[in-house]
Amino acid sequence: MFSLLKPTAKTDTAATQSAQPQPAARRSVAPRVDIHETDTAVLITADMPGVAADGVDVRVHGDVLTLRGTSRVQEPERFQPIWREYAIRDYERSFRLGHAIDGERIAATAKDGVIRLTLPKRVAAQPRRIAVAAG
Amino acid sequence: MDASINRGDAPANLEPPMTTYAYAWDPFREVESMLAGMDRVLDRAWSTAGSTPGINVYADDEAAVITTELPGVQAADVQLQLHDDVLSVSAERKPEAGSGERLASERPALRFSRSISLPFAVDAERVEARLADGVLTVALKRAEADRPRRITVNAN
Repeated sequence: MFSLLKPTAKTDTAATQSAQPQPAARRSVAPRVDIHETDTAVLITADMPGVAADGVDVRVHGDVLTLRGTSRVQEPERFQPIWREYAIRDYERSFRLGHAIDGERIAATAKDGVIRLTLPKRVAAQPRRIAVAAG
Repeated sequence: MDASINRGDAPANLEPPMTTYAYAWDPFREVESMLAGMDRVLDRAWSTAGSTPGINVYADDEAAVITTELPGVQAADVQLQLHDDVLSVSAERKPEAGSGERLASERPALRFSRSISLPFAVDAERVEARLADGVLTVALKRAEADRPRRITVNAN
């Protein structure tokens, strides 16, 4: 099996991050993902609690897809934190795309803090059914 | 990094660059860098941890707010119960019928049940719970009888 998605090694994240000013730096964490592959697409499902559709940023740069999510959750202001088991985080994770993926047609949806990416395969990369002529 | 399919490791590119000591040794910097290192370890633990979501509790003298992260959970699959000053939360994420071949599976099955001791007795009639974008927020008001009372001191 050839792999469509490989983990990225050192990428140019630092360069792309400094290019876009970001509000008061909140730490980012890599979201946990499920990845499925069908005949026509690769599907990435990422748990990003606190992220709504307008907080999702998907970019393809070369063969690297970067998924970022900005949580809209803020610490409740007038309260004191008295017990803390998790920190409110933003999310970032990169994936290396195989040549079979059509980077132009990637689609994303957000619902209940779960982001779903659909990465369609190029038609040439999809399995083709070959008709067998009788006779 | 090996070329296999994605696993739970946080991408290396999230880490800030290593501190280089071009100048004299600075103990504060040392501590800061140590703390940053601990943060990285915690990040990693968080992103690959098991299936029990963390809970945060915030409070002042009159109210408390409890939050927990439940991505992909439907409101109907969350149960809240209040018994005196103990709030019990249970939730379940229904498994999804994933299509195709599974290349990576990091998202845990989510089924959890926790009880939280609240910092004070609360008014059971005034509890508000909201599930938005996978974050559950429960707001509770302190019971009137339990509130600290200001006693006016009269002169003379």
